[in-house]
Amino acid sequence: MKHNLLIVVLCLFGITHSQNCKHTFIGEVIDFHDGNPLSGATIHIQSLDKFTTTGINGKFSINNLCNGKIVLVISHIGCETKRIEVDIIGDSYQKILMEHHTEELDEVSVTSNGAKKTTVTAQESIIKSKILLQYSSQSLGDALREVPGVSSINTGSTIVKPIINGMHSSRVLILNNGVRLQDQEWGIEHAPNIDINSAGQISVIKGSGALAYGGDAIGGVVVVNPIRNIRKDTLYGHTILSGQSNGRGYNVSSNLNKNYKSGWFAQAQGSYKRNGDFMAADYNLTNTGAESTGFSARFGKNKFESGFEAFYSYIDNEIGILRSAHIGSIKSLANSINAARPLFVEDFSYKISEPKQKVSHHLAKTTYYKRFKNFGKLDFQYDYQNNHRFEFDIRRGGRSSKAAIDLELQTHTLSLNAKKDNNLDRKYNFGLLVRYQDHFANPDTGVRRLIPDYDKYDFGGYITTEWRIHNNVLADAGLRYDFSRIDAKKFYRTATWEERGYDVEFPELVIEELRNQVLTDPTFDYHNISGALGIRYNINANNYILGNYALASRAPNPSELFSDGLHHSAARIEVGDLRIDSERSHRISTSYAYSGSKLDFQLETYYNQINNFIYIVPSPLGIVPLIRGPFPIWEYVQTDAWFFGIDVNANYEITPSWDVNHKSAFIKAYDKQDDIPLIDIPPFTTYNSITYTNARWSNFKTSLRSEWAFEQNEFPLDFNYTVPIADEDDIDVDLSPPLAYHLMHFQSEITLPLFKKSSLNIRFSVDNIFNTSYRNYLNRLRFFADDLGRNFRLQLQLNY
Amino acid sequence: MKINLLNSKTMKTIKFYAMAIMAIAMLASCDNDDDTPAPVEEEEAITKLVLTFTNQADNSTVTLTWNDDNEDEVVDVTEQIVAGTFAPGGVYDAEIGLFNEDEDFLDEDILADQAGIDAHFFVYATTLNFTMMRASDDEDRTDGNKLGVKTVWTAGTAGTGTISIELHHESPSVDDSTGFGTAAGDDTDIDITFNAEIQ
Repeated sequence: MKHNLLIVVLCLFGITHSQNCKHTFIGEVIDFHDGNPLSGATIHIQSLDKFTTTGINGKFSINNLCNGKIVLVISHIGCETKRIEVDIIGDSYQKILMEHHTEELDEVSVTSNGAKKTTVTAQESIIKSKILLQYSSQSLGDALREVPGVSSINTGSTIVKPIINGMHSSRVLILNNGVRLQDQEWGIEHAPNIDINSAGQISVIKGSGALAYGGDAIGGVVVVNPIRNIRKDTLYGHTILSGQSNGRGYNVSSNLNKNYKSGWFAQAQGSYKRNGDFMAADYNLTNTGAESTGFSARFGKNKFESGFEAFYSYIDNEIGILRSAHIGSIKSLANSINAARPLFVEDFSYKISEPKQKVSHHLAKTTYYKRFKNFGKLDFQYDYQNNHRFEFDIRRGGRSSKAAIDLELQTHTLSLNAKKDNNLDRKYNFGLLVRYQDHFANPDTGVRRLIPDYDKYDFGGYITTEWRIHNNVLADAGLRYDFSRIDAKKFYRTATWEERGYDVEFPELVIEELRNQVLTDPTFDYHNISGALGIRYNINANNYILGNYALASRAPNPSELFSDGLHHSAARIEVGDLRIDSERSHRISTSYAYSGSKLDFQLETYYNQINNFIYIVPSPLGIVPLIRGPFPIWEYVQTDAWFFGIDVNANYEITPSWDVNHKSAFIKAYDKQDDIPLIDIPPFTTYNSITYTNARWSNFKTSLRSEWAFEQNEFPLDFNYTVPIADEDDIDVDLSPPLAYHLMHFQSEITLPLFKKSSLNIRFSVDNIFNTSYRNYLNRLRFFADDLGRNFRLQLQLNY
Repeated sequence: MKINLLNSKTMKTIKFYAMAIMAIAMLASCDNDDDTPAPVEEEEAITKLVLTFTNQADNSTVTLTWNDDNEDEVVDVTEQIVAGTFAPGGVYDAEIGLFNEDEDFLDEDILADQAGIDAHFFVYATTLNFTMMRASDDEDRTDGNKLGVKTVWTAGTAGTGTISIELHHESPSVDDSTGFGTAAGDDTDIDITFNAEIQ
C-alpha cells in the first residue's frame, strides 16, 4: 500500500523511474570446507544478464538494484556451479558458500557447470550426491528409480535389481569406479554388489551408446563414481545415522576425504546396515531381515600430466528370503497366490534364517594415466574382483547350515584407454581390454550344481569419436568388437543329455561317462560387433534435441546356456540351451529437452528391436511329476522382440518456494514371432510431487510424493498353466499381474549450521503414508505376500 | 597384491609392457588348467520309495515301489511297480521305506533325531475303500501327532483306485486325527500316486 502510494507520488513528480533502483547488494563467496574467501569466482546476474567477479577477499557487489528478486549463478573452478535467488530489500549482504566439486582435471577447461555427463548424444541422466544421500539406508536399485524409465525387479525389498527401459540383469552393465561389476549378474535374485554409500554420483545411460564400457549393454549402463577429489589442502566428510520403523532398521555410514594441493588424495568410507523382519500393511514378513557391511578406500595422485589411483571396495550382504516363499511344489505356488495371508507369519525378529543368501564382493583396482603433448591422455587399468555367493536352503539332518549353493567368481581385467583430444573439435577415444574369469561351483554342497565350473576369456577393442560439426551441432560415432570364449565343464544327467538331443548334436563334448551322468566340456566362441551413431543439436540456450542409433550384441550368459535344475522360489525347472547364440539389438532413440527459468522438461523416446532375444518361457514339455511334486519346465529360447517407450521428466517452479515435479514412464514390449507381450515388463508408472522450500527456516524443505503404478494389462496369458492332479481338481496357476496401486510418501528436512565448518542435516520421511496393502508386479515375492507397509524414517547427517 | 607395486610415481611406459606380458602369461597358464570337477552326490535326494503292506492274517504282502532308475527325480510310469492286490476285509500293517541310492534316507535324515521327526509328516490318501490309522509303534512328534511311517490299513469292498503318499517338510500345522493325516502348505519331499486294487 505504502509502495503504491510511493509510485503515485513519484509519478506525480514526473520522475521516469517507476521504483527506487539504487540498492547495492554485496556478496561474499566462501569455500564451504575451509571457510576461505574464493577470489576470481564468476557471478552471472541472470535476471539482468550482467557479469562480475569476486575480488581477492571473495567479495563482489552489484549496484543499482531494484527491490525484488535477482538470480545469481556463481561459478568457480573446482566448485559446483551454484544458482541462488536473492530477495533485495534495500541494501543487502549475503554469504555464499561454495561446495567442492572436482572436475576430472583434464575436463576443467572444457566444462565447469555441475555434474559431468559421460556421453554426448546418449540418453543420460545423473543422480547427484545430494539425492544419493537420501538413499543411505536403501540400495542402489532404489536410488536408480529417481531416473524416469528406470524401475527395478525385486525379490523382497532388499534384493533390488535395476531395470532400464524394461531390461535388467545381463542387459544392464554396472560400473563401479571404472570397473565393470562381475557379480553373477545373470541371476534375477542377485542384486548388484555396490554399497550406495560409496557412490558420489551415479549416471544412468539408456541403451548401449557408451561403447567404452562394453558392447552388450542392450538395456543400459549405470556408472557409479566415488566422491570426487579436489586439488586443494582440505579435509572433509560426513556421517549419517538413520533409523526406520519398518523392520526396525538402522544404518550408520561415514566417509572422510583428505586432499592436498599437490594432487594427492585419500578417501575412506564405511557403512553398516541392519534390519529385522519387515512388515506389510497387515502382517509381518517373516525372515526378511538383512545385514550389510561395506567398506571402501582409495588413494592416489591427480595431476594434469599424470596420476594414479588405487581403489579397494568390499561389501558383504546377508539377506533373509521370506519364509513363505520357500515352496515345495507348484501346488504351493497356486495356493500362495490365492491365500489372503502368507503361510508363515511369526513375531518380529532380527534373526536371519534359511532360506537366505550371503554374498561378499571384493573389488581392487589400480589405474595410471599420463598425458602426452599434442596427443591426449592414455590410461591403463588392472582390476580384480572376487564374488562369492552362498545360498542357504531349508534342509534336513543339520544341513541347513551348509550352503546349498556355493559359487565363486573371480575376474581379472586389464584395459588400456586412449583419448586423443588435442583438437577439441575432433576427439577420438580408443581402447583395448583383456579379461579372464574363473567360476567355481563348490561340490561340497551336496546339491547338484546350478551353474557349472567355467573359464571365460574376453577380448575387446573399440574406437569412438566426437565431432563438433558446427557451434551447435555435436556428433559422435563408435565401433566395438568383442570376442568371448566360455569353456565349461558340466555334468548332465544322461537322461537330460539325451532328451535335449545333445547326444546327437554335441557327441564330441562328452569327456567322461559315469553311471547316469556324463561329464561334458562345452566350449563356445562368440564374436560380436557393436556400434553407435548420434547427433546433438543445441537449438538455443534453452532447447536441445538428441538422436541416436546403437547396435549392441550380447553373448549368452552361463545361466542361459547351462541352467539345469529346480528354481525353488519360482517353483519351476529352468533349462538352458547350449545352442543359444548372441542376441543383437538395434535401438533408435530421440530426446528433446527444454530448460528455462521456471520449467525444466525432458522427453525421451526409444524403439529397440532385438533379434535372437533370449528369454525363458514355459516349455512345451509342460509339467513333470518329480518325486517331490509336480513342477513345470521353463526353458530359454530365442525370439525376435521389440521394445518401445517414452520417459518424461518435468519440473516446474510455481513460485520460488513451491516446485512441482512429474516423472512417468511408458513401455510396451512384444515377442515379435509369437506376437505376445513379454513377461516382467514394468507397467505405466507415474510419480508426481510438490515441494516447498524455505532457505530462511534452516533450509527447510518438505515434499509430498505420489506414486501411481498402473496394472500391467499386457501379460502373456499363455504363461499361466493348469496342473492336473491325480484324483483331485486341476490346479490353475494364475501368474497374471496384480492390480494397480497408489502410494503417498512424505519427506522433510532442515540443515542446521553447527560449528564453523560443519552442518547437521535432519531428514524425516514417511513412506506409504496410508499403510496401503499392495503387490508390485515386479517383486518376485508378490505371489507370497504383500509389499511393505508404512515406514517412518529419521536420518541425521553431519557434514564436516 | 603385487600390482600395487607398480603404483610408484616413476612408473614408466615399459611397465605397461611388463603388465601386458604378465597378462598374457596369466591367460596362457589358465588355458592349460583342466582340473576336472568332481561329480556331486545329491545328499538329500530320495531315489527309492517302498511302501510295504503286510496282511496280519496270512503275512501276504502288497508293495508299492518307485525306483528312480535314470536318476532324473522324475516319477516315470515305468519306474512305478505295484506288486500284489489287497483282499477285502484284510487288515494290513504298512511301513514305508525311503532310500537315497544305497543309503537309508528315512533312518539317516528323518528318524535320526527328534528334530528330524518333528520336521516331517506323512499324509496318505486313497480312492479305494480303506480305513486307516497310525500304528501304536509309529514315531511320535513333539506336537503329539504321529509321523506316519507305520500305519494300519483295513480294506473294505473291492474296487480299483489309487493310493497317494505325501511327505511334508516343516509344515506349520499337521493333524493325524483322520489317520490319513492333513498338513498345511505344500512343501513336499514326496508327492506320488500309485494305482492299486482291492479284489
